[in-house]
Amino acid sequence: MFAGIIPVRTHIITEEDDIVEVACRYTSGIAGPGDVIALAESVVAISQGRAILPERVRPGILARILCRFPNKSGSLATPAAMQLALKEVGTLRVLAGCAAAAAGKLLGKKGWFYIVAGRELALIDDIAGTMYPYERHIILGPKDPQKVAEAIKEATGAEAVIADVNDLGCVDILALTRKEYYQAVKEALRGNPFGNEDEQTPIVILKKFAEVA
Amino acid sequence: MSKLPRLTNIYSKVKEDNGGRDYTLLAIEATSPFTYQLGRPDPMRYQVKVTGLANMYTGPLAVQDGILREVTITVKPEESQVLFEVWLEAPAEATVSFTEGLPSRLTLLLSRSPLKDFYCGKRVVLDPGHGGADGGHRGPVNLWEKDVVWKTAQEFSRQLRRLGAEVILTRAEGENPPWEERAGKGEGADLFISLHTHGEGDRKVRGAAVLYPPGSREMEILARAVLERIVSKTKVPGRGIFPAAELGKVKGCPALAIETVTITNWVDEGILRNPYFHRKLALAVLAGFFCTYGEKRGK
Ligand SMILES: [Zn+2]
Repeated sequence: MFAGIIPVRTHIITEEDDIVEVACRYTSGIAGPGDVIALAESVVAISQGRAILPERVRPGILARILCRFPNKSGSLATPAAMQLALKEVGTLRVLAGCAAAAAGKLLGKKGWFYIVAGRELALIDDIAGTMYPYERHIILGPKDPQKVAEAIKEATGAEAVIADVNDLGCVDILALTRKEYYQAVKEALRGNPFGNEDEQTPIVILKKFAEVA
Repeated sequence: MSKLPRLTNIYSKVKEDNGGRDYTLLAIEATSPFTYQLGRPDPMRYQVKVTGLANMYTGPLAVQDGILREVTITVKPEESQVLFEVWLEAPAEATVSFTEGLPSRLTLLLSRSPLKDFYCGKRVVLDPGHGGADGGHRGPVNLWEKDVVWKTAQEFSRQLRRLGAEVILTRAEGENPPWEERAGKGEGADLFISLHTHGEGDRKVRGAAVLYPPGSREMEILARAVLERIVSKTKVPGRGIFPAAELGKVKGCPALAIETVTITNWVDEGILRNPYFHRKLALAVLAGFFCTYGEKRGK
Protein backbone atom coordinates (compact mmCIF):
# COMPACT_ATOMS: atom_id res chain seq x y z
CA MET A 1 0.00 0.00 0.00
CA PHE A 2 2.82 2.43 0.81
CA ALA A 3 5.75 3.06 -1.53
CA GLY A 4 7.99 4.25 1.27
CA ILE A 5 8.37 4.60 5.01
CA ILE A 6 10.35 7.74 5.80
CA PRO A 7 11.41 8.39 9.40
CA VAL A 8 12.21 12.05 10.11
CA ARG A 9 14.79 13.05 12.70
CA THR A 10 13.42 15.74 15.02
CA HIS A 11 14.69 17.83 17.90
CA ILE A 12 13.73 16.67 21.37
CA ILE A 13 10.08 17.56 21.65
CA THR A 14 9.00 19.24 24.88
CA GLU A 15 5.86 20.80 26.31
CA GLU A 16 6.97 24.09 24.69
CA ASP A 17 6.20 22.57 21.30
CA ASP A 18 2.93 22.78 19.41
CA ILE A 19 2.71 19.27 17.99
CA VAL A 20 0.67 20.32 14.94
CA GLU A 21 3.26 22.96 14.03
CA VAL A 22 6.05 20.41 14.58
CA ALA A 23 4.34 17.87 12.31
CA CYS A 24 3.90 20.53 9.59
CA ARG A 25 7.49 21.72 9.75
CA TYR A 26 9.19 18.33 9.51
CA THR A 27 6.95 16.99 6.75
CA SER A 28 6.71 20.10 4.57
CA GLY A 29 7.50 19.39 0.94
CA ILE A 30 7.26 15.64 1.56
CA ALA A 31 3.79 14.68 2.77
CA GLY A 32 0.73 15.51 0.68
CA PRO A 33 -2.85 14.32 0.19
CA GLY A 34 -3.09 10.54 0.44
CA ASP A 35 0.16 10.21 2.38
CA VAL A 36 0.10 9.54 6.10
CA ILE A 37 1.97 11.42 8.82
CA ALA A 38 2.57 9.06 11.74
CA LEU A 39 3.40 10.36 15.21
CA ALA A 40 4.65 8.40 18.20
CA GLU A 41 2.08 8.75 20.99
CA SER A 42 4.69 9.63 23.59
CA VAL A 43 5.77 12.86 21.87
CA VAL A 44 2.16 13.94 21.45
CA ALA A 45 1.68 13.36 25.18
CA ILE A 46 4.90 15.20 26.06
CA SER A 47 3.87 18.21 23.96
CA GLN A 48 0.59 18.24 25.90
CA GLY A 49 2.44 18.52 29.21
CA ARG A 50 1.61 14.92 30.15
CA ALA A 51 5.18 14.08 31.22
CA ILE A 52 5.04 14.22 34.99
CA LEU A 53 7.88 14.21 37.48
CA PRO A 54 7.19 11.66 40.24
CA GLU A 55 8.32 14.21 42.85
CA ARG A 56 5.14 16.12 42.06
CA VAL A 57 2.90 13.15 42.79
CA ARG A 58 1.79 12.25 46.32
CA PRO A 59 1.07 8.52 46.22
CA GLY A 60 -1.59 7.38 48.68
CA ILE A 61 -1.54 4.16 50.64
CA LEU A 62 -3.60 2.38 47.97
CA ALA A 63 -1.13 3.29 45.22
CA ARG A 64 1.71 2.03 47.40
CA ILE A 65 0.01 -1.33 47.82
CA LEU A 66 -1.26 -1.72 44.26
CA CYS A 67 2.06 -0.91 42.59
CA ARG A 68 3.35 -4.15 44.15
CA PHE A 69 0.53 -6.07 42.50
CA PRO A 70 2.05 -8.35 39.85
CA ASN A 71 0.82 -9.19 36.34
CA LYS A 72 0.83 -5.65 35.00
CA SER A 73 3.64 -6.68 32.65
CA GLY A 74 6.15 -4.84 34.81
CA SER A 75 4.71 -1.36 34.40
CA LEU A 76 2.89 0.81 36.96
CA ALA A 77 5.52 -0.59 39.30
CA THR A 78 6.24 2.67 41.11
CA PRO A 79 3.82 4.23 43.63
CA ALA A 80 3.76 7.50 41.67
CA ALA A 81 2.79 5.82 38.39
CA MET A 82 0.05 3.86 40.16
CA GLN A 83 -1.24 7.05 41.78
CA LEU A 84 -1.51 8.65 38.33
CA ALA A 85 -3.29 5.53 37.04
CA LEU A 86 -5.82 5.80 39.87
CA LYS A 87 -6.39 9.43 38.94
CA GLU A 88 -6.74 8.64 35.22
CA VAL A 89 -9.41 5.95 35.39
CA GLY A 90 -10.62 5.93 39.00
CA THR A 91 -9.98 3.59 41.92
CA LEU A 92 -12.78 1.19 41.05
CA ARG A 93 -11.51 0.37 37.60
CA VAL A 94 -7.95 -0.16 38.82
CA LEU A 95 -9.24 -2.50 41.55
CA ALA A 96 -11.39 -4.36 39.04
CA GLY A 97 -8.32 -4.65 36.82
CA CYS A 98 -6.34 -6.18 39.68
CA ALA A 99 -9.16 -8.68 40.31
CA ALA A 100 -9.18 -9.55 36.61
CA ALA A 101 -5.40 -9.95 36.60
CA ALA A 102 -5.65 -12.33 39.57
CA ALA A 103 -8.37 -14.36 37.84
CA GLY A 104 -6.33 -14.30 34.63
CA LYS A 105 -3.33 -15.63 36.48
CA LEU A 106 -5.35 -18.62 37.72
CA LEU A 107 -6.46 -19.35 34.16
CA GLY A 108 -3.03 -18.70 32.71
CA LYS A 109 -4.18 -15.63 30.74
CA LYS A 110 -2.14 -12.46 30.43
CA GLY A 111 -3.20 -8.87 29.81
CA TRP A 112 -6.49 -8.95 31.74
CA PHE A 113 -5.43 -6.06 33.96
CA TYR A 114 -5.47 -3.62 31.05
CA ILE A 115 -8.54 -5.09 29.39
CA VAL A 116 -10.56 -4.33 32.52
CA ALA A 117 -8.76 -1.30 33.97
CA GLY A 118 -8.59 0.47 30.63
CA ARG A 119 -6.14 0.51 27.80
CA GLU A 120 -5.21 4.14 28.49
CA LEU A 121 -3.30 2.71 31.45
CA ALA A 122 -1.23 0.58 29.11
CA LEU A 123 -0.06 3.87 27.59
CA ILE A 124 1.43 5.09 30.85
CA ASP A 125 5.19 4.83 30.63
CA ASP A 126 6.62 4.39 34.09
CA ILE A 127 9.83 6.00 35.34
CA ALA A 128 12.79 5.15 33.05
CA GLY A 129 10.39 3.90 30.37
CA THR A 130 11.16 6.83 28.05
CA MET A 131 14.41 8.09 26.57
CA TYR A 132 16.56 10.88 27.92
CA PRO A 133 15.70 13.62 28.86
CA TYR A 134 12.38 12.09 29.97
CA GLU A 135 13.71 9.10 31.87
CA ARG A 136 12.84 10.76 35.19
CA HIS A 137 9.24 11.29 34.15
CA ILE A 138 6.10 9.24 34.08
CA ILE A 139 4.43 9.78 30.70
CA LEU A 140 0.68 9.46 30.45
CA GLY A 141 -1.10 8.66 27.20
CA PRO A 142 -1.97 11.60 24.92
CA LYS A 143 -5.18 13.53 25.47
CA ASP A 144 -7.76 13.64 22.62
CA PRO A 145 -5.51 11.93 20.07
CA GLN A 146 -8.23 11.94 17.40
CA LYS A 147 -8.52 15.74 17.66
CA VAL A 148 -4.75 16.09 17.28
CA ALA A 149 -4.75 13.82 14.21
CA GLU A 150 -7.59 15.79 12.61
CA ALA A 151 -5.75 19.06 13.28
CA ILE A 152 -2.64 17.71 11.57
CA LYS A 153 -4.72 16.67 8.57
CA GLU A 154 -6.32 20.10 8.47
CA ALA A 155 -2.90 21.80 8.55
CA THR A 156 -1.00 19.56 6.12
CA GLY A 157 -3.57 18.01 3.81
CA ALA A 158 -2.09 14.60 4.57
CA GLU A 159 -3.74 11.89 6.65
CA ALA A 160 -2.47 11.46 10.20
CA VAL A 161 -2.08 8.62 12.67
CA ILE A 162 -1.00 8.54 16.30
CA ALA A 163 0.33 5.18 17.42
CA ASP A 164 2.18 3.31 20.12
CA VAL A 165 4.71 0.87 18.70
CA ASN A 166 7.20 -1.31 20.51
CA ASP A 167 10.25 -3.29 19.45
CA LEU A 168 8.26 -6.52 19.51
CA GLY A 169 6.15 -5.29 16.61
CA CYS A 170 3.00 -4.50 18.61
CA VAL A 171 1.21 -1.55 17.03
CA ASP A 172 -1.58 0.20 18.89
CA ILE A 173 -3.36 2.82 16.82
CA LEU A 174 -4.81 5.55 19.01
CA ALA A 175 -6.14 7.81 16.28
CA LEU A 176 -6.36 7.74 12.50
CA THR A 177 -7.97 10.22 10.11
CA ARG A 178 -8.85 7.67 7.44
CA LYS A 179 -10.29 4.38 8.61
CA GLU A 180 -9.63 2.47 5.34
CA TYR A 181 -5.91 2.85 5.99
CA TYR A 182 -6.03 1.05 9.34
CA GLN A 183 -4.54 -2.30 8.28
CA ALA A 184 -1.97 -0.81 5.91
CA VAL A 185 -0.77 1.69 8.52
CA LYS A 186 -0.51 -1.03 11.11
CA GLU A 187 1.61 -3.14 8.77
CA ALA A 188 3.82 -0.18 7.87
CA LEU A 189 4.57 0.64 11.50
CA ARG A 190 5.28 -2.92 12.61
CA GLY A 191 9.05 -2.54 12.15
CA ASN A 192 9.01 0.40 14.59
CA PRO A 193 10.25 3.18 12.28
CA PHE A 194 9.90 5.56 15.27
CA GLY A 195 13.15 3.91 16.32
CA ASN A 196 14.53 2.91 19.64
CA GLU A 197 17.08 4.45 21.95
CA ASP A 198 19.51 6.45 19.86
CA GLU A 199 17.17 7.14 17.01
CA GLN A 200 15.11 10.29 17.39
CA THR A 201 12.47 9.85 14.68
CA PRO A 202 9.05 10.23 16.34
CA ILE A 203 7.59 11.42 13.02
CA VAL A 204 7.33 9.00 10.11
CA ILE A 205 5.91 9.74 6.68
CA LEU A 206 4.15 6.91 4.87
CA LYS A 207 4.24 7.75 1.16
CA LYS A 208 1.51 6.30 -0.98
CA PHE A 209 2.31 4.99 -4.45
CA ALA A 210 2.25 7.75 -7.07
CA GLU A 211 -0.95 7.60 -9.10
CA VAL A 212 -0.47 6.17 -12.54
CA ALA A 213 -1.35 8.84 -15.08
CA MET B 1 9.42 24.58 -8.03
CA SER B 2 12.53 22.42 -8.25
CA LYS B 3 12.39 18.94 -6.84
CA LEU B 4 15.40 18.96 -4.54
CA PRO B 5 15.87 15.92 -2.32
CA ARG B 6 14.69 16.46 1.25
CA LEU B 7 17.10 15.15 3.85
CA THR B 8 15.13 13.32 6.49
CA ASN B 9 17.36 11.31 8.77
CA ILE B 10 20.86 10.47 9.98
CA TYR B 11 21.70 7.59 12.29
CA SER B 12 24.53 5.35 13.36
CA LYS B 13 24.80 1.88 14.83
CA VAL B 14 27.30 -0.93 15.22
CA LYS B 15 26.37 -3.52 12.66
CA GLU B 16 27.61 -6.91 11.56
CA ASP B 17 28.32 -7.54 7.88
CA ASN B 18 27.79 -10.85 6.06
CA GLY B 19 31.24 -12.06 6.99
CA GLY B 20 30.52 -11.59 10.69
CA ARG B 21 32.73 -8.50 11.03
CA ASP B 22 31.52 -5.47 12.95
CA TYR B 23 31.22 -2.05 11.38
CA THR B 24 30.12 1.35 12.51
CA LEU B 25 27.33 2.18 10.11
CA LEU B 26 26.48 5.81 9.38
CA ALA B 27 23.47 6.46 7.17
CA ILE B 28 22.08 9.66 5.67
CA GLU B 29 18.58 9.44 4.22
CA ALA B 30 16.58 11.61 1.81
CA THR B 31 13.33 11.49 -0.13
CA SER B 32 15.06 10.89 -3.47
CA PRO B 33 18.54 10.00 -4.79
CA PHE B 34 20.98 12.82 -4.04
CA THR B 35 24.41 13.90 -5.21
CA TYR B 36 27.21 14.04 -2.68
CA GLN B 37 30.92 14.75 -2.40
CA LEU B 38 33.01 12.75 0.00
CA GLY B 39 36.25 14.19 1.33
CA ARG B 40 38.78 13.30 4.01
CA PRO B 41 40.58 16.46 5.12
CA ASP B 42 42.55 14.51 7.73
CA PRO B 43 42.71 10.89 8.96
CA MET B 44 40.29 11.64 11.80
CA ARG B 45 37.57 13.30 9.75
CA TYR B 46 35.34 12.66 6.78
CA GLN B 47 33.25 15.35 5.08
CA VAL B 48 30.09 14.64 3.15
CA LYS B 49 28.58 17.48 1.12
CA VAL B 50 25.04 16.72 0.06
CA THR B 51 22.86 18.70 -2.33
CA GLY B 52 19.38 18.98 -0.89
CA LEU B 53 17.17 20.63 1.68
CA ALA B 54 17.20 19.66 5.33
CA ASN B 55 13.79 18.69 6.65
CA MET B 56 15.40 16.93 9.56
CA TYR B 57 16.77 18.36 12.77
CA THR B 58 20.39 19.37 12.16
CA GLY B 59 21.81 19.27 15.68
CA PRO B 60 24.91 17.10 16.18
CA LEU B 61 24.63 13.31 16.28
CA ALA B 62 26.69 11.99 19.19
CA VAL B 63 27.87 8.40 18.77
CA GLN B 64 31.07 7.73 20.79
CA ASP B 65 31.45 4.05 19.97
CA GLY B 66 35.25 4.01 19.94
CA ILE B 67 35.41 4.67 16.18
CA LEU B 68 32.89 7.42 15.43
CA ARG B 69 32.75 10.31 17.89
CA GLU B 70 30.04 12.50 16.38
CA VAL B 71 28.62 14.03 13.25
CA THR B 72 28.05 17.77 13.05
CA ILE B 73 25.72 19.21 10.45
CA THR B 74 25.83 22.62 8.75
CA VAL B 75 23.05 23.82 6.47
CA LYS B 76 23.92 26.18 3.61
CA PRO B 77 20.52 27.23 2.29
CA GLU B 78 21.83 29.60 -0.40
CA GLU B 79 23.70 26.71 -2.06
CA SER B 80 21.00 24.13 -1.26
CA GLN B 81 23.75 22.18 0.47
CA VAL B 82 24.09 20.35 3.72
CA LEU B 83 27.55 19.59 5.09
CA PHE B 84 28.11 16.58 7.36
CA GLU B 85 31.37 16.52 9.28
CA VAL B 86 32.15 13.02 10.53
CA TRP B 87 34.56 13.17 13.47
CA LEU B 88 36.39 9.93 14.20
CA GLU B 89 37.91 8.61 17.43
CA ALA B 90 40.36 6.40 15.54
CA PRO B 91 41.63 6.58 11.94
CA ALA B 92 39.08 4.15 10.50
CA GLU B 93 38.61 3.43 6.79
CA ALA B 94 35.17 3.94 5.27
CA THR B 95 33.39 1.99 2.55
CA VAL B 96 30.67 4.00 0.83
CA SER B 97 27.50 2.73 -0.78
CA PHE B 98 24.24 4.22 -2.02
CA THR B 99 20.75 2.74 -2.17
CA GLU B 100 18.02 4.37 -4.22
CA GLY B 101 14.52 4.22 -2.87
CA LEU B 102 12.09 5.84 -0.50
CA PRO B 103 14.11 6.85 1.44
CA SER B 104 17.31 6.91 -0.60
CA ARG B 105 20.30 6.20 1.58
CA LEU B 106 24.00 7.00 1.63
CA THR B 107 25.86 4.54 3.85
CA LEU B 108 29.37 4.82 5.26
CA LEU B 109 30.66 1.59 6.76
CA LEU B 110 33.52 2.45 9.08
CA SER B 111 35.91 -0.34 9.87
CA ARG B 112 36.16 -1.14 13.56
CA SER B 113 39.57 -2.75 13.14
CA PRO B 114 41.44 -0.10 15.22
CA LEU B 115 39.33 -1.14 18.20
CA LYS B 116 39.60 -4.81 17.33
CA ASP B 117 43.38 -4.65 16.85
CA PHE B 118 43.63 -3.10 20.29
CA TYR B 119 41.53 -5.70 22.13
CA CYS B 120 42.48 -8.77 20.12
CA GLY B 121 44.38 -11.23 22.32
CA LYS B 122 44.02 -9.07 25.43
CA ARG B 123 42.95 -10.79 28.62
CA VAL B 124 40.14 -8.97 30.42
CA VAL B 125 38.90 -10.02 33.85
CA LEU B 126 35.28 -9.19 34.63
CA ASP B 127 34.24 -9.22 38.25
CA PRO B 128 30.46 -9.11 38.76
CA GLY B 129 30.09 -8.04 42.40
CA HIS B 130 28.36 -10.09 45.14
CA GLY B 131 26.53 -13.29 44.15
CA GLY B 132 25.00 -16.31 45.84
CA ALA B 133 23.66 -15.45 49.29
CA ASP B 134 25.06 -11.90 49.01
CA GLY B 135 22.56 -9.92 46.93
CA GLY B 136 24.28 -6.56 47.33
CA HIS B 137 21.99 -3.53 47.23
CA ARG B 138 18.33 -3.87 46.34
CA GLY B 139 16.24 -1.53 44.16
CA PRO B 140 13.00 0.02 45.46
CA VAL B 141 10.91 -2.18 43.15
CA ASN B 142 12.63 -5.56 43.04
CA LEU B 143 16.04 -5.72 41.37
CA TRP B 144 19.14 -7.04 43.15
CA GLU B 145 22.64 -5.76 42.53
CA LYS B 146 24.10 -9.27 42.13
CA ASP B 147 21.71 -9.99 39.26
CA VAL B 148 22.03 -6.71 37.37
CA VAL B 149 25.83 -6.70 37.49
CA TRP B 150 25.74 -10.27 36.22
CA LYS B 151 23.71 -9.05 33.28
CA THR B 152 26.14 -6.18 32.66
CA ALA B 153 29.07 -8.62 32.83
CA GLN B 154 27.43 -10.80 30.17
CA GLU B 155 27.15 -7.79 27.89
CA PHE B 156 30.82 -6.85 28.47
CA SER B 157 31.78 -10.42 27.77
CA ARG B 158 29.79 -10.55 24.53
CA GLN B 159 31.34 -7.34 23.21
CA LEU B 160 34.87 -8.28 24.27
CA ARG B 161 34.68 -11.70 22.63
CA ARG B 162 33.53 -10.07 19.40
CA LEU B 163 36.66 -7.93 19.59
CA GLY B 164 38.80 -11.03 19.97
CA ALA B 165 39.64 -10.59 23.66
CA GLU B 166 39.97 -13.39 26.18
CA VAL B 167 37.37 -12.97 28.93
CA ILE B 168 37.67 -14.32 32.46
CA LEU B 169 34.81 -14.05 34.93
CA THR B 170 35.64 -14.06 38.64
CA ARG B 171 32.50 -15.92 39.58
CA ALA B 172 29.78 -18.20 38.24
CA GLU B 173 26.21 -16.95 38.42
CA GLY B 174 25.37 -18.39 41.86
CA GLU B 175 28.76 -17.97 43.53
CA ASN B 176 30.30 -15.37 45.80
CA PRO B 177 34.07 -15.91 46.05
CA PRO B 178 36.06 -13.76 48.50
CA TRP B 179 37.68 -10.57 47.20
CA GLU B 180 41.24 -11.95 47.45
CA GLU B 181 40.33 -14.76 45.10
CA ARG B 182 38.63 -12.38 42.66
CA ALA B 183 41.50 -9.90 42.71
CA GLY B 184 44.00 -12.73 42.21
CA LYS B 185 42.51 -13.44 38.79
CA GLY B 186 43.86 -10.08 37.65
CA GLU B 187 47.41 -11.41 37.66
CA GLY B 188 48.80 -11.45 34.12
CA ALA B 189 45.67 -9.81 32.72
CA ASP B 190 45.49 -6.61 30.66
CA LEU B 191 42.46 -5.11 32.36
CA PHE B 192 40.36 -5.84 35.45
CA ILE B 193 36.81 -4.48 35.67
CA SER B 194 34.76 -4.92 38.82
CA LEU B 195 31.03 -4.29 38.38
CA HIS B 196 28.79 -2.97 41.14
CA THR B 197 25.90 -0.63 41.69
CA HIS B 198 25.94 2.05 44.33
CA GLY B 199 23.32 2.06 47.09
CA GLU B 200 22.12 4.74 49.53
CA GLY B 201 19.47 5.20 52.17
CA ASP B 202 18.55 8.46 50.46
CA ARG B 203 16.44 7.46 47.45
CA LYS B 204 17.16 10.78 45.74
CA VAL B 205 20.83 9.95 45.14
CA ARG B 206 21.46 8.63 41.67
CA GLY B 207 24.20 8.14 39.13
CA ALA B 208 27.34 6.25 38.15
CA ALA B 209 30.83 6.33 39.66
CA VAL B 210 34.22 4.90 38.78
CA LEU B 211 36.63 3.71 41.47
CA TYR B 212 40.39 3.35 40.97
CA PRO B 213 43.36 2.03 42.98
CA PRO B 214 44.61 4.74 45.36
CA GLY B 215 47.89 6.48 44.58
CA SER B 216 47.86 5.87 40.83
CA ARG B 217 47.68 9.04 38.77
CA GLU B 218 47.40 6.94 35.63
CA MET B 219 44.38 5.05 36.94
CA GLU B 220 42.79 8.28 38.11
CA ILE B 221 43.02 9.66 34.57
CA LEU B 222 41.58 6.45 33.16
CA ALA B 223 38.75 6.49 35.70
CA ARG B 224 37.86 10.05 34.77
CA ALA B 225 37.88 9.27 31.04
CA VAL B 226 35.70 6.21 31.55
CA LEU B 227 33.19 8.06 33.72
CA GLU B 228 32.91 10.87 31.16
CA ARG B 229 32.12 8.30 28.51
CA ILE B 230 29.53 6.55 30.65
CA VAL B 231 27.78 9.84 31.37
CA SER B 232 27.65 11.03 27.78
CA LYS B 233 26.70 7.66 26.33
CA THR B 234 24.13 6.41 28.87
CA LYS B 235 22.95 9.86 30.13
CA VAL B 236 23.15 8.59 33.70
CA PRO B 237 24.57 11.41 35.85
CA GLY B 238 28.10 11.01 37.21
CA ARG B 239 28.64 10.81 40.97
CA GLY B 240 32.38 11.14 40.58
CA ILE B 241 35.58 9.12 40.72
CA PHE B 242 36.92 7.78 44.00
CA PRO B 243 40.01 5.88 45.17
CA ALA B 244 39.17 2.40 46.57
CA ALA B 245 41.73 0.53 48.67
CA GLU B 246 40.51 -2.96 47.62
CA LEU B 247 41.49 -2.29 44.03
CA GLY B 248 45.11 -2.03 45.19
CA LYS B 249 44.95 -5.81 45.67
CA VAL B 250 44.69 -6.33 41.92
CA LYS B 251 48.34 -6.62 40.94
CA GLY B 252 50.00 -5.95 37.64
CA CYS B 253 47.14 -4.64 35.50
CA PRO B 254 44.86 -1.61 35.25
CA ALA B 255 41.89 -2.12 37.57
CA LEU B 256 38.66 -0.18 37.86
CA ALA B 257 35.42 -0.71 39.70
CA ILE B 258 32.35 0.67 38.02
CA GLU B 259 29.24 1.53 39.96
CA THR B 260 26.96 1.46 36.97
CA VAL B 261 24.05 3.29 38.63
CA THR B 262 22.63 3.89 42.11
CA ILE B 263 20.17 1.01 42.29
CA THR B 264 18.33 2.40 45.34
CA ASN B 265 17.01 5.26 43.19
CA TRP B 266 13.71 4.67 41.34
CA VAL B 267 14.97 6.05 38.02
CA ASP B 268 18.28 4.21 38.11
CA GLU B 269 16.61 0.93 38.97
CA GLY B 270 14.24 1.41 36.03
CA ILE B 271 17.16 2.12 33.71
CA LEU B 272 18.66 -1.25 34.62
CA ARG B 273 15.64 -2.95 33.03
CA ASN B 274 16.55 -1.48 29.66
CA PRO B 275 18.79 -3.91 27.74
CA TYR B 276 20.25 -1.02 25.73
CA PHE B 277 21.62 0.47 28.94
CA HIS B 278 23.92 -2.50 29.56
CA ARG B 279 25.00 -2.46 25.93
CA LYS B 280 25.79 1.25 25.97
CA LEU B 281 27.56 1.08 29.29
CA ALA B 282 29.88 -1.70 28.14
CA LEU B 283 30.57 0.11 24.87
CA ALA B 284 31.31 3.36 26.73
CA VAL B 285 33.78 1.67 29.07
CA LEU B 286 35.55 -0.30 26.33
CA ALA B 287 35.77 2.78 24.09
CA GLY B 288 37.05 4.84 27.03
CA PHE B 289 39.82 2.34 27.81
CA PHE B 290 40.72 2.11 24.11
CA CYS B 291 40.84 5.87 23.61
CA THR B 292 42.99 6.39 26.74
CA TYR B 293 45.42 3.52 26.13
CA GLY B 294 45.12 2.91 22.39
CA GLU B 295 46.60 6.26 21.44
CA LYS B 296 49.42 5.99 23.92
CA ARG B 297 50.52 2.52 22.87
CA GLY B 298 49.35 2.47 19.30
CA LYS B 299 51.75 5.02 17.86
ZN1 LIG C 1 28.36 -3.86 45.38
